[in-house]
Amino acid sequence: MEPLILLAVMIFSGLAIFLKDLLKAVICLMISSIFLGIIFFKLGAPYAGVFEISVVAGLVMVLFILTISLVGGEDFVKEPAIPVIFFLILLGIFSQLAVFGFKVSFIPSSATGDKFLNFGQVLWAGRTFDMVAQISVIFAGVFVILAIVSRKGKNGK
Amino acid sequence: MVNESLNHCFMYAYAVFVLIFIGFYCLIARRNMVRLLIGLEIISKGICLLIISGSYPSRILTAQALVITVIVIEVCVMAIGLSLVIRAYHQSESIDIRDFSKLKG
Repeated sequence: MEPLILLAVMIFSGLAIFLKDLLKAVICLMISSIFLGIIFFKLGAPYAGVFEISVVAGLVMVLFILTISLVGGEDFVKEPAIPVIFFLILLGIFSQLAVFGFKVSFIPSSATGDKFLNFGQVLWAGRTFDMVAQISVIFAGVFVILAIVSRKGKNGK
Repeated sequence: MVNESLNHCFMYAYAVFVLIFIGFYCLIARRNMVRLLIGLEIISKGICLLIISGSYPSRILTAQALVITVIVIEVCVMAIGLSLVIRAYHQSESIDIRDFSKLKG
Protein backbone atom coordinates (compact mmCIF):
# COMPACT_ATOMS: atom_id res chain seq x y z
CA MET A 1 0.00 0.00 0.00
CA GLU A 2 2.75 2.45 0.94
CA PRO A 3 4.58 2.23 -2.44
CA LEU A 4 1.34 3.13 -4.20
CA ILE A 5 0.80 6.15 -1.96
CA LEU A 6 4.40 7.26 -2.51
CA LEU A 7 3.89 6.84 -6.25
CA ALA A 8 0.76 8.98 -6.03
CA VAL A 9 2.73 11.69 -4.17
CA MET A 10 5.36 11.73 -6.91
CA ILE A 11 2.86 11.67 -9.78
CA PHE A 12 0.71 14.48 -8.42
CA SER A 13 3.81 16.55 -7.61
CA GLY A 14 4.96 16.07 -11.18
CA LEU A 15 1.55 17.04 -12.51
CA ALA A 16 1.69 20.20 -10.39
CA ILE A 17 4.62 21.50 -12.44
CA PHE A 18 3.50 20.24 -15.87
CA LEU A 19 -0.18 21.22 -15.98
CA LYS A 20 -0.82 24.45 -17.87
CA ASP A 21 -3.72 25.63 -15.73
CA LEU A 22 -2.41 27.03 -12.45
CA LEU A 23 -5.58 26.15 -10.55
CA LYS A 24 -5.38 22.50 -11.61
CA ALA A 25 -1.68 22.50 -10.68
CA VAL A 26 -2.46 23.75 -7.19
CA ILE A 27 -5.21 21.14 -6.78
CA CYS A 28 -2.70 18.44 -7.77
CA LEU A 29 -0.30 19.84 -5.17
CA MET A 30 -3.08 19.65 -2.57
CA ILE A 31 -3.80 16.01 -3.41
CA SER A 32 -0.08 15.29 -3.16
CA SER A 33 -0.03 16.87 0.33
CA ILE A 34 -2.98 14.73 1.41
CA PHE A 35 -1.21 11.55 0.29
CA LEU A 36 1.96 12.69 2.08
CA GLY A 37 -0.07 13.20 5.26
CA ILE A 38 -1.41 9.64 4.92
CA ILE A 39 2.18 8.38 4.66
CA PHE A 40 3.05 10.27 7.85
CA PHE A 41 0.13 8.54 9.57
CA LYS A 42 1.34 5.16 8.34
CA LEU A 43 4.87 5.87 9.61
CA GLY A 44 3.53 6.55 13.10
CA ALA A 45 3.71 10.35 12.93
CA PRO A 46 0.08 11.42 13.37
CA TYR A 47 0.83 14.98 14.50
CA ALA A 48 2.99 15.64 11.47
CA GLY A 49 0.27 14.10 9.29
CA VAL A 50 -2.40 16.34 10.79
CA PHE A 51 -0.20 19.40 10.24
CA GLU A 52 0.57 18.36 6.67
CA ILE A 53 -3.07 17.86 5.79
CA SER A 54 -4.61 20.79 7.67
CA VAL A 55 -1.93 23.44 7.22
CA VAL A 56 -0.20 22.58 3.94
CA ALA A 57 -3.12 21.00 2.08
CA GLY A 58 -5.55 23.49 3.62
CA LEU A 59 -4.11 26.87 4.53
CA VAL A 60 -1.30 27.11 1.98
CA MET A 61 -3.57 25.97 -0.85
CA VAL A 62 -6.13 28.61 0.12
CA LEU A 63 -3.33 31.19 -0.13
CA PHE A 64 -2.34 29.83 -3.55
CA ILE A 65 -5.93 29.87 -4.83
CA LEU A 66 -6.41 33.41 -3.50
CA THR A 67 -3.27 34.56 -5.30
CA ILE A 68 -4.28 32.82 -8.55
CA SER A 69 -7.71 34.43 -8.41
CA LEU A 70 -6.01 37.84 -8.09
CA VAL A 71 -3.37 37.42 -10.78
CA GLY A 72 -5.30 35.23 -13.24
CA GLY A 73 -5.62 31.48 -13.43
CA GLU A 74 -4.31 30.92 -16.92
CA ASP A 75 -0.62 30.45 -17.29
CA PHE A 76 0.09 33.38 -19.61
CA VAL A 77 3.81 33.34 -18.88
CA LYS A 78 5.71 31.90 -21.82
CA GLU A 79 7.73 28.99 -20.46
CA PRO A 80 10.91 27.77 -22.16
CA ALA A 81 10.26 24.80 -24.41
CA ILE A 82 12.19 22.03 -22.68
CA PRO A 83 11.21 18.56 -23.90
CA VAL A 84 9.75 16.21 -21.30
CA ILE A 85 12.31 13.60 -22.29
CA PHE A 86 15.06 15.78 -20.76
CA PHE A 87 13.09 15.86 -17.52
CA LEU A 88 12.78 12.06 -17.53
CA ILE A 89 16.48 11.53 -18.30
CA LEU A 90 17.58 13.94 -15.57
CA LEU A 91 15.11 12.34 -13.18
CA GLY A 92 16.55 8.91 -13.92
CA ILE A 93 20.09 10.14 -13.26
CA PHE A 94 19.25 12.14 -10.16
CA SER A 95 17.12 9.43 -8.56
CA GLN A 96 20.10 7.06 -8.65
CA LEU A 97 21.58 9.23 -5.90
CA ALA A 98 19.05 7.53 -3.65
CA VAL A 99 21.12 4.35 -3.94
CA PHE A 100 23.97 6.11 -2.15
CA GLY A 101 21.82 8.03 0.30
CA PHE A 102 19.48 5.44 1.73
CA LYS A 103 21.80 4.16 4.46
CA VAL A 104 22.39 7.61 5.96
CA SER A 105 21.17 8.19 9.47
CA PHE A 106 19.22 11.37 8.86
CA ILE A 107 18.61 12.80 12.33
CA PRO A 108 21.89 13.82 13.96
CA SER A 109 22.57 12.52 17.42
CA SER A 110 22.70 16.05 18.78
CA ALA A 111 18.94 16.41 18.26
CA THR A 112 17.37 16.22 21.68
CA GLY A 113 14.02 14.81 22.62
CA ASP A 114 14.63 11.07 22.52
CA LYS A 115 14.53 10.73 26.28
CA PHE A 116 10.88 11.77 26.51
CA LEU A 117 7.97 9.39 26.33
CA ASN A 118 5.28 11.27 24.46
CA PHE A 119 5.03 13.93 21.80
CA GLY A 120 3.88 16.70 24.15
CA GLN A 121 6.98 16.34 26.29
CA VAL A 122 9.21 16.29 23.23
CA LEU A 123 7.64 19.42 21.76
CA TRP A 124 7.29 21.53 24.89
CA ALA A 125 10.22 20.31 27.00
CA GLY A 126 12.72 18.87 24.52
CA ARG A 127 12.29 21.30 21.63
CA THR A 128 11.46 24.50 23.50
CA PHE A 129 13.86 26.58 21.45
CA ASP A 130 12.11 25.41 18.27
CA MET A 131 8.85 26.80 19.62
CA VAL A 132 10.50 30.17 20.31
CA ALA A 133 11.90 30.16 16.78
CA GLN A 134 8.49 29.28 15.32
CA ILE A 135 6.83 32.17 17.15
CA SER A 136 9.57 34.51 15.93
CA VAL A 137 9.14 33.31 12.34
CA ILE A 138 5.37 33.77 12.51
CA PHE A 139 5.73 37.34 13.82
CA ALA A 140 8.38 38.11 11.19
CA GLY A 141 6.08 36.77 8.48
CA VAL A 142 3.15 38.86 9.67
CA PHE A 143 5.20 42.05 9.80
CA VAL A 144 6.74 41.43 6.36
CA ILE A 145 3.32 40.81 4.79
CA LEU A 146 1.96 43.96 6.41
CA ALA A 147 4.94 45.92 5.09
CA ILE A 148 4.51 44.53 1.57
CA VAL A 149 0.74 44.82 1.30
CA SER A 150 0.34 48.22 2.94
CA ARG A 151 3.28 49.81 1.15
CA LYS A 152 2.29 53.23 -0.12
CA GLY A 153 3.22 54.73 -3.45
CA LYS A 154 5.47 57.70 -4.04
CA ASN A 155 2.63 60.16 -3.70
CA GLY A 156 1.46 58.63 -0.42
CA LYS A 157 -1.53 56.72 -1.87
CA MET B 1 13.87 -9.00 7.72
CA VAL B 2 17.00 -6.98 6.97
CA ASN B 3 16.21 -6.96 3.24
CA GLU B 4 12.68 -5.78 3.97
CA SER B 5 14.03 -2.94 6.11
CA LEU B 6 16.52 -1.95 3.40
CA ASN B 7 13.79 -2.00 0.76
CA HIS B 8 11.68 0.19 3.04
CA CYS B 9 14.53 2.71 3.42
CA PHE B 10 15.32 2.64 -0.30
CA MET B 11 11.69 3.21 -1.26
CA TYR B 12 11.43 6.35 0.86
CA ALA B 13 14.88 7.61 -0.11
CA TYR B 14 13.93 7.21 -3.78
CA ALA B 15 10.71 9.16 -3.25
CA VAL B 16 12.63 11.90 -1.40
CA PHE B 17 15.15 12.30 -4.21
CA VAL B 18 12.42 12.33 -6.85
CA LEU B 19 10.43 15.00 -4.99
CA ILE B 20 13.50 17.19 -4.47
CA PHE B 21 14.43 16.78 -8.14
CA ILE B 22 10.93 17.75 -9.30
CA GLY B 23 11.11 20.87 -7.11
CA PHE B 24 14.54 21.89 -8.40
CA TYR B 25 13.50 21.24 -11.99
CA CYS B 26 10.52 23.52 -11.46
CA LEU B 27 12.77 26.23 -10.00
CA ILE B 28 15.16 25.99 -12.95
CA ALA B 29 12.81 25.46 -15.88
CA ARG B 30 9.77 27.58 -15.01
CA ARG B 31 9.41 31.37 -15.12
CA ASN B 32 5.98 31.86 -13.59
CA MET B 33 6.46 33.12 -10.03
CA VAL B 34 3.53 31.06 -8.70
CA ARG B 35 5.08 27.94 -10.22
CA LEU B 36 8.41 28.76 -8.55
CA LEU B 37 6.63 28.77 -5.21
CA ILE B 38 5.00 25.44 -6.12
CA GLY B 39 8.52 24.12 -6.72
CA LEU B 40 9.64 25.33 -3.29
CA GLU B 41 6.60 23.61 -1.78
CA ILE B 42 7.51 20.30 -3.44
CA ILE B 43 11.11 20.53 -2.17
CA SER B 44 9.72 21.14 1.30
CA LYS B 45 7.55 18.03 0.98
CA GLY B 46 10.64 16.01 0.12
CA ILE B 47 12.51 17.36 3.14
CA CYS B 48 9.60 16.54 5.47
CA LEU B 49 9.44 12.99 4.07
CA LEU B 50 13.22 12.70 4.52
CA ILE B 51 13.00 13.69 8.19
CA ILE B 52 10.10 11.37 9.01
CA SER B 53 11.25 8.32 7.05
CA GLY B 54 14.87 8.71 8.16
CA SER B 55 13.94 8.69 11.83
CA TYR B 56 11.39 5.86 11.64
CA PRO B 57 10.76 4.21 14.08
CA SER B 58 13.16 5.03 16.91
CA ARG B 59 13.20 8.86 16.78
CA ILE B 60 9.78 9.51 15.37
CA LEU B 61 8.75 11.88 18.19
CA THR B 62 11.70 14.19 17.60
CA ALA B 63 11.11 13.98 13.86
CA GLN B 64 7.50 15.07 14.27
CA ALA B 65 8.57 18.13 16.24
CA LEU B 66 11.11 19.00 13.53
CA VAL B 67 8.56 18.50 10.75
CA ILE B 68 6.09 20.79 12.50
CA THR B 69 8.82 23.44 12.69
CA VAL B 70 9.54 22.95 8.98
CA ILE B 71 5.84 23.29 8.13
CA VAL B 72 5.47 26.52 10.12
CA ILE B 73 8.50 28.05 8.39
CA GLU B 74 7.20 26.83 5.03
CA VAL B 75 3.83 28.48 5.58
CA CYS B 76 5.49 31.79 6.43
CA VAL B 77 7.73 31.59 3.37
CA MET B 78 4.74 30.80 1.14
CA ALA B 79 2.66 33.64 2.59
CA ILE B 80 5.48 36.15 2.09
CA GLY B 81 6.23 34.83 -1.40
CA LEU B 82 2.61 34.97 -2.52
CA SER B 83 2.19 38.49 -1.14
CA LEU B 84 5.30 39.47 -3.13
CA VAL B 85 3.72 37.91 -6.24
CA ILE B 86 0.54 39.96 -5.74
CA ARG B 87 2.59 43.12 -5.17
CA ALA B 88 4.69 42.46 -8.26
CA TYR B 89 1.56 41.87 -10.33
CA HIS B 90 0.09 45.16 -9.18
CA GLN B 91 3.33 46.96 -10.04
CA SER B 92 4.02 45.51 -13.48
CA GLU B 93 0.96 43.47 -14.54
CA SER B 94 3.19 40.43 -14.91
CA ILE B 95 4.30 37.44 -12.89
CA ASP B 96 7.09 36.46 -15.27
CA ILE B 97 10.32 36.32 -13.31
CA ARG B 98 12.27 37.65 -16.34
CA ASP B 99 10.41 40.93 -16.14
CA PHE B 100 12.11 41.60 -12.82
CA SER B 101 15.66 41.08 -14.04
CA LYS B 102 16.19 44.84 -13.90
CA LEU B 103 16.15 44.49 -10.12
CA LYS B 104 19.51 42.75 -10.34
CA GLY B 105 22.32 44.83 -8.89
